Amino acid sequence: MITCPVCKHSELDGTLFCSECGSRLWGDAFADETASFSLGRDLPRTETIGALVIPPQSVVTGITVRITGAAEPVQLSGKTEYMLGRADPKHDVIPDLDLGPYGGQHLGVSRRHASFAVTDTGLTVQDLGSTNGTQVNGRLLNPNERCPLKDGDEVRLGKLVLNIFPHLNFLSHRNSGYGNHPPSAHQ
Amino acid sequence: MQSAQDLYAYLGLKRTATPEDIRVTFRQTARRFHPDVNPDPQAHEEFKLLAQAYETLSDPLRRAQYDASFPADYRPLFSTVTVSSRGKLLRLPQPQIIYVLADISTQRLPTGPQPPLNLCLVIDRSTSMQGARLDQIKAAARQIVESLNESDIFSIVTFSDRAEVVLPAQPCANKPSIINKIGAIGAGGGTEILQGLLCGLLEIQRNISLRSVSHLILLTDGRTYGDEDDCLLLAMLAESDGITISGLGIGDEWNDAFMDTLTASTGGKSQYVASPAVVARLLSKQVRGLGDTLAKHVRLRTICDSGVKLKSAFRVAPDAQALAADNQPMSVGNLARQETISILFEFVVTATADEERPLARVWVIGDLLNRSQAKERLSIDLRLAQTDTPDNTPPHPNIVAALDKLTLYRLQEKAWADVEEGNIPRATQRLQTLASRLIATGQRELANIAINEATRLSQTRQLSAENRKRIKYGTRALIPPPKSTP
Repeated sequence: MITCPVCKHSELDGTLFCSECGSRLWGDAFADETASFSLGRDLPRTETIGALVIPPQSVVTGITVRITGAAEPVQLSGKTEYMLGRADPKHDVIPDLDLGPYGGQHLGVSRRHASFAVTDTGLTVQDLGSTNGTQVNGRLLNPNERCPLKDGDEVRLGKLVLNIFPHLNFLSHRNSGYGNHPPSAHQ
Repeated sequence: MQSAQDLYAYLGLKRTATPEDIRVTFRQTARRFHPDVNPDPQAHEEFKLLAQAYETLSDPLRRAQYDASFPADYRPLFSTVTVSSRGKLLRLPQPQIIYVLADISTQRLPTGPQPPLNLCLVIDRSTSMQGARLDQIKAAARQIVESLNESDIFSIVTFSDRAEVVLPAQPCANKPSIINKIGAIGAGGGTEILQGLLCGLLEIQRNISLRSVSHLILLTDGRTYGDEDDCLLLAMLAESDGITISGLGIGDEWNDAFMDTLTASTGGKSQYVASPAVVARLLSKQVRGLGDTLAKHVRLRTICDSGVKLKSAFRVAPDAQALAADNQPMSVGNLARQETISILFEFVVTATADEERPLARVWVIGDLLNRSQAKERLSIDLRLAQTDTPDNTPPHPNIVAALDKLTLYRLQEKAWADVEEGNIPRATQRLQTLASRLIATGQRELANIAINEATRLSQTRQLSAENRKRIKYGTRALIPPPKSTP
């Protein structure tokens, strides 16, 4: 079975148009290629690394990711590195956070787009050489550039907007005020 | 009736085939349609036909007789081009969809003059037709009479609660007298289509011949109540006589779903006449088209291989129309000169371990006009090579072009079905989706109608009968005729 990227209706393999919403189920808008558009190519690429605001002693125990358009935030925990992208079992790409179900393909998210890394000094994001780039608070990262993240930072993968809320060990998950109830203004 | 058929082509053989070739090929093919293997209800019949062909070709004496009787330069009436959505079938464990677009045309040129028509107009003269509608129809009927040849047989039936034969079937010799009779038609009464249909078909049946094209045109503006099923039964009888029925629905009150089923079962079509002023144009176009007929009563019989199911069939051209896939054979109408009948099949296929996957056999059967021995048949064997490597080449553009627009048409059908079920939010959403897709294809006017209808629906839970028909026939008209297949 294949799933319509727009309305999530299931269709038999080989179906060319979704019977529920008429969306195309083949070719570059669907199958393997990431939609490509010139997004933020004119933004200045700077070498400036953002200030570290996470206290050096604190340890990140998990991450709450709020995805624009999604009803519930996603929780990531238990690893020191999380890959973000679109699942493609055919090419053995299984991201820790699969953005395919959130319209990732249309929004220009690559199969291997970016990664979060938990280090002793806090949380960082790295662009993995994605088609449409990664932005942190409006600044376009260079391919493979690593950028620290602080609470509430906006990360854009292509056109998909995420807000990141690290869980720090000296604050309990619930008391952080973000974990389960991230702020709704994220744009 | 003996029918012209190339038995070699049928079995997939060359004329020079050795007895061993014939035996091996027959065994392979017959296995596909053996009733123990193939659950398709048509398979048994196909198996018998194969066995008969084999009987002829496997016996040296009978083969020689057949060869002698069959012209060496025989060219089948029908030529077909088929393309499928995938060049190869990917071996998936689960069932998958394969689309096949079959273009049926003929290379033969007409011999002799145009075939005579055997035409009946069945005119609704109920009270609601009074005024412009009936006036325009009468004007259109007069125009048709003027355009007919003297050898054409013409009849007119009117109906309200009862039916009257205004003009019994006769050659179109005395045109002034016919035109006088048309002038005397007046409005009054209800709408009982069955009465009119029955009378009209009886008039046509008096003059059915192999050489003429029999056609009934139903013009109505209303709904018939309670006799729909009998009408459909009559249409099936008409189909078996090779009579096509087309319908012109005037205004917004007539039942388009009924008219579609009625006409489609005979290979005809229904049309929406928004304004009476265009009746004459549509009618004369139809009648002109009938004169170009080369083969009539063209029908398709599809026998699926085991593990294959025909999910749907749609006539893309000459007139877009859904076909009843479970009703075999499917009538697809007349084949006109320089025209292509284009059918889009949707199969559900389970792959096999073999190198090749046979999908189905499709018989194209039709009656060639101007021939005493009329029936012509051609079988197409649909098969695909199978592969384990996913193939990302885009599907054939002709299939995409047809499906792209067909999807829009089906979207609106689903919206109306939602309304019938009482699911207004879903219907509204579907109309909005349809509108955005229509905008994307540049159909602003239709898109606007869809948006208005979506708004009306969410506010009043009611549809406008007019807009519903405009959207239905508007999206249907977008379905493109086939481009020449390379």
